[in-house]
Amino acid sequence: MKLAVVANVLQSEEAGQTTHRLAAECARRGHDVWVLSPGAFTYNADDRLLGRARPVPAGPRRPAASLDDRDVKWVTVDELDLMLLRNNPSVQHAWAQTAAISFGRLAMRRGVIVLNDPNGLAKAANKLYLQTFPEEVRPRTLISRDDARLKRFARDEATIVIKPLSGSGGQSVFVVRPNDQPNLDEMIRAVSRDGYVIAQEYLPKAAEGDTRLFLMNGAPLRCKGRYAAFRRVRTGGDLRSNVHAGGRIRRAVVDDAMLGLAEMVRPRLVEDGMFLVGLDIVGDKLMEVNVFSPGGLGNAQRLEKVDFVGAVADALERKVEYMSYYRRNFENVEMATL
Amino acid sequence: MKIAFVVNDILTEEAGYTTCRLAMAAVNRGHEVWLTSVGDLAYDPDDSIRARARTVPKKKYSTTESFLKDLKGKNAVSERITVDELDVMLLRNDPAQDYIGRPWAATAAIVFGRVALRHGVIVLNDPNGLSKATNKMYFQTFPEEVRPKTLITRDRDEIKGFAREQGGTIVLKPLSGSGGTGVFLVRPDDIPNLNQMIDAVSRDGYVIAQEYLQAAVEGDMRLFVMNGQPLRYKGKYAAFRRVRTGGDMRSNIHAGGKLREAEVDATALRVAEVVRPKLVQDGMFLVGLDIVGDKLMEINVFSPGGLGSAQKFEGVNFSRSVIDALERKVQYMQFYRRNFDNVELAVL
Repeated sequence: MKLAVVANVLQSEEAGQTTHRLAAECARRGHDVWVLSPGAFTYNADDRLLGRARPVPAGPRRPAASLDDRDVKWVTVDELDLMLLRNNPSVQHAWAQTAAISFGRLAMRRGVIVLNDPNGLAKAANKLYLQTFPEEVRPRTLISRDDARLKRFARDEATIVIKPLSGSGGQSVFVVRPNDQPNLDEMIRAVSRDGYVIAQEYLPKAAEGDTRLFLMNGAPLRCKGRYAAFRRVRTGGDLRSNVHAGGRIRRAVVDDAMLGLAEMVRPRLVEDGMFLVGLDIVGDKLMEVNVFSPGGLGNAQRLEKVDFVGAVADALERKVEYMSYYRRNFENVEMATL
Repeated sequence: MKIAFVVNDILTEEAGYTTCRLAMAAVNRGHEVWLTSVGDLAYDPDDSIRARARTVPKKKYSTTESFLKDLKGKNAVSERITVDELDVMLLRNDPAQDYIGRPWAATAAIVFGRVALRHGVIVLNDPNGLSKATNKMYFQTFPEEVRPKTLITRDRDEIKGFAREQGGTIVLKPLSGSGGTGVFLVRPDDIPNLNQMIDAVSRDGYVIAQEYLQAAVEGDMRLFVMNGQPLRYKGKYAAFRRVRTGGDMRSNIHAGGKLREAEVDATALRVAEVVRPKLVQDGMFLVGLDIVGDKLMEINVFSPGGLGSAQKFEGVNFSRSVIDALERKVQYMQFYRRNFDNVELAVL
């Protein structure tokens, strides 16, 4: 199959490694694999969609740095079987945020399988997406730009977390405890500078960290009886359990509460054509749904000692085969989770 | 009915704006009408969408100036309304004005609108449709025959090649943004400046390079389309012509065009007919088409303006027919007890 991966140059290590592992595995299997950035597309005057892309060499997996810019070539996107959108919209220029989704939509109209579904991704471009999942899986939440209301919520809940509605990766995330009231104004100001503020009930269990569980085709990703998951344990005083905020990685125990939660989020993920998703879970609550470029598949692989990346590549191959049966005439949003 | 208009910022609304005209027409009909700024929405802990909103104290207004004065002044009624209890939420903010200064505000109405529609509010234009239209790539999803030849890229050599192919005359503009900013007309003797022009546009992202239509010299026509069809009231089409004045190629009003009566001919109606299926598919209730000859220059789905100009030239009150259409939708929704797909209702 012919496959392109859209990724930004500056990916967090975790997400970048997962993207690279997937691309390298597909190349190793003999597929024609290309990588391009969200700025490298061209909508040509003859209505063809092109992209300046780098080939991923076949053979043993090589680090991304060894890819050579001299190999850059124009690829006709319309002729691809599949395009993986793995760019993280929160770490790039405003214009690049929507570029991958817009070009992805066009590619999809031309019969390319685009994952995750670009219309689904457009809905998930900020954290309000979490509010579209059932109430019982979410922490109590207020989203506002009104200082007085945010303060009242902080008093009502005793301890809350505040973060920007747009953005990801643990930037400007504050935990507000009862004795932080004197700093609350400044904290709110720091977050609201970038738009709406999410204030969330603080889950005491979050002190122990969270679990990242991968879902593929709407169901927990499982291979040889093992779930693709790992735990991020908080170290020191920092509440952000993201790895780049200094968390430690441990094996996860995927229990019935988590599987029940995955079951509750499933219908929405299927509706929105979310092929590969990372859930961040604390207890029986969902902290975040990562649909853009969920990372850490390598962590899960290392801890569980099974080839999850291979399982994802299998799923991609299957979709391309399905699409060939239907001669490129099948709804992308359905294909995404088949 | 209870209706709220979402705008960029109430305090920057102007009496000439179509939004203001529609809001006044709804008040005069006896409806409960609110305006809210795109930063004043809230998702509350009880899972309701609320908004700090304003309305006017009087029941009748004869001019948009007096309406706006009351809305902005100390006579205004300010309240925190529950958006979920509205019948209709009209998204009338223009994201292009916020892309640079407040990027977060460009998408806020769409994301809150999506939640409101899940709660049974009629949200227009359909927020999922709008999110597909946040940049000019949306235009490329309409049939080829109504569009000028277009290249979209960040590659300088590609653009130069296209300029050569087109005989040296093309239009350059940014993929995001609107209102005639960053729009360049490249003529054959501008080739020495082409690099600088491309740089100026590509600083903000992707560049659209478009075939230059000779007919554009005479200006363009704005035609309103409602529920997927040309807006017609008492036999008149809601349309007007923008005539270019001076050397500026941008015919937008704020780029200095003059307004004239439009002649909506069979060619313009055919363009509207060709775009109709896609507008219906995306739940676009009220849209402004910019037409040059038999080609579409732009589709304005966010906050199409100029209904007042059409009213002036045609002598009929198009605002009233828009409010009629909203009343009908609210009634439909009542028949179905708020259980009907927004995207379909948007164009019914």
